[in-house]
Amino acid sequence: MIPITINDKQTKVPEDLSVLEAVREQGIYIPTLCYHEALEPAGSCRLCIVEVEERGRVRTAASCVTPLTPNMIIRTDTEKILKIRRILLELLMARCPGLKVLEQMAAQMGVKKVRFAQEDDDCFLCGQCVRACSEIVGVSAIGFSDRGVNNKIGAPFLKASNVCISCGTCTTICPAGTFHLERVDNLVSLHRYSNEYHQEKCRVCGDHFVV
Amino acid sequence: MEEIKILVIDDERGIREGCRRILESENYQVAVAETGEKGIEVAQTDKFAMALIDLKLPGMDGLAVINELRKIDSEIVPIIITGYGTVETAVEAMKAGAFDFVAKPFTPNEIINVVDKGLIQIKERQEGLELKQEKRERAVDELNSLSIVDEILARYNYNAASLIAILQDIQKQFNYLPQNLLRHVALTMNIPLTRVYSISTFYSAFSLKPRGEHLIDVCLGTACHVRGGMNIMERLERELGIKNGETTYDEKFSLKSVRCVGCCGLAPVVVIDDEFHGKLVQDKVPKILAKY
Amino acid sequence: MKQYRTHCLVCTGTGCVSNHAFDIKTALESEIIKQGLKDEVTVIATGCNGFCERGPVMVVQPENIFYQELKEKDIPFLVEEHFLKGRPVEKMMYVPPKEEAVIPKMSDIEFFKHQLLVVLRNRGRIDPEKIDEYIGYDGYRALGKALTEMKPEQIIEEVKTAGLRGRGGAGFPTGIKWGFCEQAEEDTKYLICNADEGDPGAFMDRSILEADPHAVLEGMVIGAKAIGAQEGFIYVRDEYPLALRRINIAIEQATEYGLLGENILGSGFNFKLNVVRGGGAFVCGEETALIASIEGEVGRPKPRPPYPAQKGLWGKPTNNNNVETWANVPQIILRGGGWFASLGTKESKGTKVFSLVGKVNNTGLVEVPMGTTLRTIVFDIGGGVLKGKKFKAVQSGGPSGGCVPESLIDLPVDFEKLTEAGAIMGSGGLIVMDEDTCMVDVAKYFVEFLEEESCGKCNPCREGLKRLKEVLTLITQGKGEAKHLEMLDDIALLMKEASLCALGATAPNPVLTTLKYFREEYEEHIFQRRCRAKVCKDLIMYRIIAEKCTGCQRCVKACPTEAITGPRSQPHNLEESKCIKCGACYEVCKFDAIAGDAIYIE
Repeated sequence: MIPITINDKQTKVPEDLSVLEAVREQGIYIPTLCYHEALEPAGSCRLCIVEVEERGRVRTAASCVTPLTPNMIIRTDTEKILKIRRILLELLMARCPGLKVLEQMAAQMGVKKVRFAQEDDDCFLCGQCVRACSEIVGVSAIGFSDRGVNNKIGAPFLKASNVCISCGTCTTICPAGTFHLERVDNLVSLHRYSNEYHQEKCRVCGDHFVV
Repeated sequence: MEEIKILVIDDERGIREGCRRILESENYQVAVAETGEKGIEVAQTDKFAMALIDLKLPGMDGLAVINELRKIDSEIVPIIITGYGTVETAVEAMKAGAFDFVAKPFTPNEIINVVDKGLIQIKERQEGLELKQEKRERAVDELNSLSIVDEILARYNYNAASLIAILQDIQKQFNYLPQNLLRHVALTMNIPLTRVYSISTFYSAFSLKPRGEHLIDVCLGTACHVRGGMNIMERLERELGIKNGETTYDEKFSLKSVRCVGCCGLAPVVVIDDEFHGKLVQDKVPKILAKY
Repeated sequence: MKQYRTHCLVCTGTGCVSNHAFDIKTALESEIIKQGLKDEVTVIATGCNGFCERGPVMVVQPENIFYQELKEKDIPFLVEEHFLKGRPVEKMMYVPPKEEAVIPKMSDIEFFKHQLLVVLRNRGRIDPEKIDEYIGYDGYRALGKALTEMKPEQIIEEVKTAGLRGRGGAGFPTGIKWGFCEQAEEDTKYLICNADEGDPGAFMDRSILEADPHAVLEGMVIGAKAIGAQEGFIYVRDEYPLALRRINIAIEQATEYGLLGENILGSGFNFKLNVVRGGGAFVCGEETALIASIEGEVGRPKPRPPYPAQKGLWGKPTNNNNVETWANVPQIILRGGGWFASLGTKESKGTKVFSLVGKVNNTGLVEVPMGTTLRTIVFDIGGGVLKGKKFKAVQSGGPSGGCVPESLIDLPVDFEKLTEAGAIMGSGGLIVMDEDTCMVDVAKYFVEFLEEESCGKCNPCREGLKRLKEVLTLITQGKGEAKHLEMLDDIALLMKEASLCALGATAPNPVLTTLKYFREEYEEHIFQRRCRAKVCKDLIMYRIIAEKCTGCQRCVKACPTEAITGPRSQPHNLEESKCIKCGACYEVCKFDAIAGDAIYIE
């Protein structure tokens, strides 16, 4: 256990936690999009930024990938942090208008209008599906391709993957509801990368499995 | 167009000459024979695309003639002329290898239609052959290219850390990264295809599309930018009729912007296949392109 | 070794090679044989001489005569006149801009006079493909000293005393960085030399590798000894074929001489060096992305900590420095940290190599002590602005840097001063801008560059750059609104504070510095729909000044859309509806008759 200060309140927490975990343990809200307990943190959505002070040096850090150090001072709700989060959310809403998860956050954080040209994407590239497919399922059927503003998620050559086992993990984990699974009889379609699979229902457990 | 020759075998002169008149008016070359034996003799001296054969001939009958014609030229398309317009005889004739049949009496249009159908059949068969040939060549090609890739992989010891270098070498060899080769790399090295695909789309050195014979790199580094590199790029786009990142229709040129080739003293610079063209003004662009 | 009376040092850096320097060299050699001088005159292909603007260049020693803009057809005459008859040829010598008299000697030319060569000490004097020539100028003596006389701590101490700071961008003290890695308790450690020079307008690292590859190797072996690394990687841009070739030759020769590989100089120390070709991604200049790329992965940065000094390449402690940093090391060890610290300013020691490019007369590679003023660099060494135009700004530090305005021309260039001005030292690209450069366009240029080069992993950088570009494009198109300035500020704040890596965090700098020093240009674009530099196409129109037009028809021929018409000897007519504003006419007009005038929209 190490002593830290969160929003002016002193406390002791296990030292192997990340800043995000320590803060959330205190019941304090920090928005995240790319973080998931079951996955390695990616530190890519940056919504979880907080202000940390170590040995007198103050910086802004993504809490999910920042390890705790003794006597660390953490502030999660400074005006600057809140402002940065609002700008970030505004940019994401311009990219993906109408996504429920973003709108809920916007309501909570007080983002009222979007000043930028609206696009019509439905994926903000948090990469949870990619990490789940590789870390949990172990097949890496989907991945990132291209770079920068053209960065996208999909199976290689944006065609149906031949290693996907249609487990549906990506659809379950996706916070945007972008990946979804459609079942018609024994045919399962994974949208977004046009895979189709024949599945059979297991007579014992009732789950479906790929034949 | 090559002349299409049709052989008509019928013992009824009216039918023979009628067919000749109709077909010749459609610009076919027509030969006629009144018996099966004579028809076979004629077929041995020339190449016919099609033969119209009366089913009921004196001497050798129509089906036997088809068999004999086939022996002479397996590609000939036989069409039966039948006086008994019944389904049974037609089916029998088709079984014997006729492509189609036409029942007496027929109108000129009926004959033309059946001949046209036959010709379409010939054309499709030829295309099919070409396709097969192409496929076979491609398979050989693929076999060759796979072994070239295997050599490259072996040179790097199948080491995944050398993936970028491996892809660079493959691209050097094939001018771009063909999909089947990337799949082969992933399979052979036992790494996820997603990783190979990610890398080949992430780094600007790689192209997943075939590139032109000549690669035009327009430097848009800062020095070239302030000395008017963008104007040169726009001029090239107009001259070639393509946009940055594209390849001309005849696959002669691929146009790409690059970020600083480090020859800022020559700004603005265009590099075409390893040759540098420096201190450019737009007006020089057409002259330079003409050299290639 | 054979003695020659005259040495012809032909520059074969990429700049001169692009200007057919190898043809000049071949022509010289055959002409020298032809005129029977092969036992008296020798031709040496050197690395980048620095004065790229005047390429291909050659220096003749011992007279120190500088020949420039050589042409193959002039070579027989040159050989006959200079080498046979002893009369140096004036018409191939350097004439300063706006002057008439030639300056025969290299040491008298302003471009070279103000420079102090430490890193580039061997440029233009040795053949980089021959290790003996490097050794001839004290090469590998520092290595001998480090391996036989010094303990690792002493080497690190010497580098700390020198005050050497990383030349790749951030300026982190090199000795301290080495110390972190040395203290990491692991048996396997790695070294990296970052030669993935990605800044547009910068070619220092390439020139060093081309001119003096052994200096980099020697520095790396010394660093390896200090840190305890057994293996190193040089990550070179694939677009640098000549640098790649020379570094590979250097490694081969050094290995052959026992200066690399097993049991170096009999000291029992082993060090293996590999060359990795980059795949073409600016973001790979970032340490963690560079490491991922060497591992054969996509170059996406990872959050730090853990720092590479603890967990780097394949999870092992790794130390990464850029080419110029490594090339400084042998000199520090040989001549002592104190000597190095005597150069430069209080916080920034030693010299810095800059590539001086853009709207400047003497484009090229220069090395000056830290603290040299921008004025000296741009006006004395650089010979001032091209075509006598008015100086506007210097862009320093590439896409992560910023624009320094004319009011700060007397700024002594060092890490602190540039940072204070809002720019950064970066890797050392200095791009000179004149009155014809639009600062909004420059900001947009860097944003577009970064938008293409961002890895796209984190939201602030990916989305932020996209929106910076969106807003700047609107402004340059004359669709700017007052609220846009605030939006730029907001995005900049987000990117600076919340981006995952330095690429994103520094990406707003070109926007911020131009906003700070050239706000009036933004405001003109937004409120007056005017681009004073006449760059933004949507805000200008071309017209022909009838009084100046002589009717020479050059522009008529140059115009790709036949917008200009008119008979010879009469003022031409420019039809606005056909004009695509490509500027081809402006480029060819010899009489200043075509003006790109700003449009006013009421």
